[in-house]
Amino acid sequence: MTETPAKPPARARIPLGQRETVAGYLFLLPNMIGFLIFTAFAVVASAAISLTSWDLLSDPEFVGFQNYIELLTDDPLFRTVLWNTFYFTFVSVPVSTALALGLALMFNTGLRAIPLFRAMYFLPVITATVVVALIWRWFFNPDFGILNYVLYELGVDSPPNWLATRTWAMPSVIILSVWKQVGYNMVIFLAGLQAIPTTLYEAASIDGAGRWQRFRNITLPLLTPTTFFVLVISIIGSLQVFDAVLVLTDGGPANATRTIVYHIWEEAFVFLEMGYAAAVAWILFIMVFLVTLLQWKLQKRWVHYEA
Amino acid sequence: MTAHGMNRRRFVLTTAAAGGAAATVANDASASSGAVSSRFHAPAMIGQAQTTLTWAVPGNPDEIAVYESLAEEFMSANPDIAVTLDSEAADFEKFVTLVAAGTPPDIGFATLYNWPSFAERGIFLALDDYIAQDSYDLEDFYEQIITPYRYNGDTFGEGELYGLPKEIAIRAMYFNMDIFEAAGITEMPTPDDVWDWDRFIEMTQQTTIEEGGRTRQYGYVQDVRWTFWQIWAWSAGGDPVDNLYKPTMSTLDNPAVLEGYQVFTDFVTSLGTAPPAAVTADQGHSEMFAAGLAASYNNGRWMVPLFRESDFRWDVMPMPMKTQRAQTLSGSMFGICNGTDNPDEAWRFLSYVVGAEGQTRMTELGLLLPSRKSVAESDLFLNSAPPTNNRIFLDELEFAKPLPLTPIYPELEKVINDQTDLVLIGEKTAAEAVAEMHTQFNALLQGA
Repeated sequence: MTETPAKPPARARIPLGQRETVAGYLFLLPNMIGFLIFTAFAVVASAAISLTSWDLLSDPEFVGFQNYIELLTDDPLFRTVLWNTFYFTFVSVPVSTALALGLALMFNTGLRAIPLFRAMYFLPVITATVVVALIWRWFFNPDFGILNYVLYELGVDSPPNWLATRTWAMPSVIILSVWKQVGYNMVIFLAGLQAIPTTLYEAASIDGAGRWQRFRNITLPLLTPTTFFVLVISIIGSLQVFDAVLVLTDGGPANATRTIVYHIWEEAFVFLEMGYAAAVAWILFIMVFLVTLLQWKLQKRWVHYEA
Repeated sequence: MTAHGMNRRRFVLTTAAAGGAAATVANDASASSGAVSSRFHAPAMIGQAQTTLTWAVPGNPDEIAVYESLAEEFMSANPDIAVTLDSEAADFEKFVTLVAAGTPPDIGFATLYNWPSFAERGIFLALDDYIAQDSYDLEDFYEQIITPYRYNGDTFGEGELYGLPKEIAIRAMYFNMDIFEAAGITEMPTPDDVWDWDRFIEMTQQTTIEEGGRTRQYGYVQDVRWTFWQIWAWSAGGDPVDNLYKPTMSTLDNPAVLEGYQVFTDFVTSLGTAPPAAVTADQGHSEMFAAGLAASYNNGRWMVPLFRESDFRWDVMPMPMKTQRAQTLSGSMFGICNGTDNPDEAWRFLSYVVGAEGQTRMTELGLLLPSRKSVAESDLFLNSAPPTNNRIFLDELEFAKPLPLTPIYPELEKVINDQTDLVLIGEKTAAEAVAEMHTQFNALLQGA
């Protein structure tokens, strides 16, 4: 029997281009449905909720912009929360980006042990934050922890009381977050490094460029799209820091590590102020949006895409 | 463990530590509860109309296993009802979300201090009609733990009953006999030997060991939350508010409150015989005692299974006192959720599950102080050693009072936690902190 795959007549009537378009949308459909229900709908709903006073357990009551007015004028914690979030973001992002770049440069060689080291640095990324934070609480223990043990051995007389002081609590959260994040950024940088053509380095060497000059004039400029990506993603992630704070310090001591998302969570699920929490969430969204917009605008000045 | 007044964060940590990750515990629980219900769906096939009840169950995997077997026994005796366990629905966030979605479990769970929020919003059904109709015997429950679950729309402790207590939480003083002996304390405390504060402080100083500027062993380790320090304030005669069942103003300006709060925080700030938060942050307070790093530790009966795994001798003693013995009451209850389609079946199950049999099983695990006299005063509980001094938990119940029952309890607790943080890190004195709590309490209570 000869198999002649006869095209179904119905299909044949639709031009190929249109058929592909339809197929494309069909492939997108599952994702789109999920997005519409679980993201778009939730976003719109949260905007509506932010205009109400709602305790989840009784019917919501429309209050207009009262929540926004209250949080901008009458919430003594909101300013603390903003400051803490910015503190966390503007320390942890540069540090983790610089460290990740350094590690990527170190590991961008052909040594045989390199995959092992890469895996080691990537492990924290795929480990649950709760587990990581639990381990770090042991490290931070002032009497029995390994961190202060090392500091004592190095001759530091009174090492910090990490999690228990307002000065050191946020740096502790930052240390943990950097340690957890750096592997992810490192992998992205490695991909960026490997995309730089080796011919450029060879040509530069022939022209007499040293290691620093090659780094400064080839690696850094050609890596800027990667750096841009890492910065955008890290800043968005950092502005939403939550689980590390919850487990490590519970927002304390005395609100020293209370961040925006922690504030949202507590207002919503501890004090049952869902309307107010939704309003804070919208402020966070506006902040993320503005910061990202600013980064997009500024990228023209420093990001070089290969021609 | 939320059942025992543990906060959300501790819950996450405990489940994570116990199961490797919180998800594991949740999965185990839901997987096995799924198994229970499917096994017991069989009778329905024989043509009986079957009602399905969802039951919010708190606790660790051991507790949930007991609840599962209780549900199974109930289902074999009542083939018209299928019970599905939902271990996540007992979590506060999940529970309020289920209520908001209009799909609460049929049998809900509340801790004593979550319950006022639910009461004010009518989340649970009053049980009085069912109790009257069945002549259900409330006498076997300790009066102290029934009363707070009454509410008349305005005041707690009066009016209709909305939940049946599954347990009582009372905090005794655990002590490490080996450390006591090593420090030269040969006569071990007994249930009738109630130490005064001075004697207790002296013990903590005798048992604290410093080495090279670092403390290697502490005399006392304490959870710093309100439930714990209020015992000390009450012992000096200081109530936090004018009416615990309907607070309208703060009485934290009573000097006796400061006296208790002062001595409680002094252990950390000036005596150094209790560890600062930084030390306990990683291991938790109970773990420090369990590891033999502290001579004494104040907490509830649910610590017993953990301490039984320790390799030192330990027991419980009464809380040290100033002018009177004092104790904080807490606990948790099961109730029927408003909006259930099957309130009658829910009552049948509820009345069964807080019965003597269920509490006996839980007592066998060593976890709880039963809310029923018949179980608490049985040999099973009293002779479940260690600790040999189990009677202390019942003695302390005599003096136990609840913290203020009010829907704004979480806000009050936050005020206290923030101020206590500042005292423990040395940025405020106890007196300044209590004065600030007083002001903020009044602002909250008058705004509510």
